[in-house]
Amino acid sequence: MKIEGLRKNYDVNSGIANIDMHISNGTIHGFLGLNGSGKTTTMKIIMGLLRKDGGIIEYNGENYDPSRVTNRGRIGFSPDLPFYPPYLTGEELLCVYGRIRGFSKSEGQNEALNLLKMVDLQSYRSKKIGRYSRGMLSRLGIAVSLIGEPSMIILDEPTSGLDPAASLTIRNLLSEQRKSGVTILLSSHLLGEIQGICQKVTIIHRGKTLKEGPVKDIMREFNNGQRYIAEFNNLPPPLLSEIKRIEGIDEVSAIEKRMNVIKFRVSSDDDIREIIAKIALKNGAVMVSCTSDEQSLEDLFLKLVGDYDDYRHRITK
Amino acid sequence: MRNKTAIIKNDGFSFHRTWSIINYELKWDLRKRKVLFTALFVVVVTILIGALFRTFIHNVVYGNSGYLWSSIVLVLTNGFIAGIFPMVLGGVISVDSMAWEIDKGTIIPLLSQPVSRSEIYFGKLMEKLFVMFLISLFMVILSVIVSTIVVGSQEYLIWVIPIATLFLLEIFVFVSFTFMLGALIKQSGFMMLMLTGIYFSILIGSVFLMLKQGFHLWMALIPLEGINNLLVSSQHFFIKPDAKLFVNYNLGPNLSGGAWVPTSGLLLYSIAGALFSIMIFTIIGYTIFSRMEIKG
Repeated sequence: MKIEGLRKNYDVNSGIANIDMHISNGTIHGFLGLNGSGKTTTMKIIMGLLRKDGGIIEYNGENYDPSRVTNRGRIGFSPDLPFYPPYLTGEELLCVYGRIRGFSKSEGQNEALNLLKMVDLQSYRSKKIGRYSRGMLSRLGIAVSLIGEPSMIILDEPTSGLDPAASLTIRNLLSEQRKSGVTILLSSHLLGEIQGICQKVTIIHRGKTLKEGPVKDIMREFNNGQRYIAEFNNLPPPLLSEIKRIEGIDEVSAIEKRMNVIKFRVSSDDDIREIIAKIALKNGAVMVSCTSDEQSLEDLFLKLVGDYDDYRHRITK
Repeated sequence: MRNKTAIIKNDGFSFHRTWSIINYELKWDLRKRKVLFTALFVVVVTILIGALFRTFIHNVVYGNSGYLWSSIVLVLTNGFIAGIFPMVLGGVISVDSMAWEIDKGTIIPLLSQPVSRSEIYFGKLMEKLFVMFLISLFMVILSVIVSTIVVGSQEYLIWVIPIATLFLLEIFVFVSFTFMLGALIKQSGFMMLMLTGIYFSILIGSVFLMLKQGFHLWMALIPLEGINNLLVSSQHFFIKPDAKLFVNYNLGPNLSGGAWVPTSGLLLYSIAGALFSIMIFTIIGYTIFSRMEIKG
């Protein structure tokens, strides 16, 4: 799916101004932004719940008009805080939605049972939705989004308010779906979650796209190479000098408040830990540990948002 | 193994999808306690009017114990409280279909499914037509049974279907109005209050119009107001098609009036008025719904 220049005006200070997003088939695409940044608005436009005021949306190279039933049939959606008719059971809801998607009664029931099993709700199939917990509703939402095996699913904060075990179940489920070829657009506040399972990410702020690309590339660019922290049993000066002379290693420095610990940057993709361990031995020291010191997606996100707000502040002044 | 991917091939109106919406709505309606309470209310009111007000109905209002059953229907719909019964019936059962679904957010997953807004709106309306038909028929048949127990065998039973149909028409005016209002205000909390307020405002406004201009048959075309004459004129028409009926309008001692009108003409205009109201409310309601955006 390709979204370019997407715009929606609510009033002067809200809505979305310029959203660009390129979602590759068969990936989990993270969608990040603060509350009110325009994530849900973008998703609602894709699902035809809101009308766009400008921009283009293409799906598989063709113009995507969300008001067309055939287009929406290719996409599944689970909204933030999914509400479903409380009088229906989970099985009945999936059957009804399945029938809307063209299944016969028996096919719909079969689909409902398979999906309930997939999201681990088969024991609650006859329970009224009004009695479902928040976690069960989230899982039911994912099951609803998967009815009829759509080629793409859009999930708005599916793990919001869930305990770590329930979040892990959902992450595993999403990874399985991706392996079977489903494209997933995932909005979440939990940046660690996005970093863990998404291949690509789009970061938006105040209705505009700030950054987009593969998570690995963005993080490498942000970290400007690989960063490590190494600890030794002792740190003779020749060892530090020799490490500084290794090709591809720079920004080597001792960490002041920690004894015998240094940090450094590696500009290549090579794993240099073995080389440093050998140099340490040669200099009469032992490398106790060497761990990655990369900044997280959360750090990147906060930096981008902060930089943008500073920029806007300067412009306004 | 899951089923093969369901592929939606048709962007136009689909009976299969509309039927799915009817099914969705019906499953929901049949579980609602208030539908059961409403049915129970119908039973209690019918029995009370049939039994306790028998003398009043028999001697004062419509005279003949042979068709007490239709008088019960008439009292329920027009006599004492000027159509408030069909308003409550139509309003209470329909408020969830549009206003509640929008208000509570359950409309979002439904609108996200591959189903058009026309299929949703008209599927829901069709389901209400079916449910209201069952309730109307139930109420009319119950009136016959209660009347038979209270005063003996009943006559003119051939009218059961036409009177049930006209009663359905009357309720359906309020159903279409409730749908329209729901799409417009998107709030379920004050829905019944608004419905009642608008209804009585139109009634009072119409009476002032009648006081100023005198009663004319075209006034039966006024949305919501005209249907008050529907069942009165139908009962008189079935008894004596060429009779005249006195239409009385009254807001107080110095604010009253009335006119003799042909029963057949009043019935015809009332039916036209009901159909006109349903059409207007449905067109406006659907236009709002089809353009509605789900914000927040």
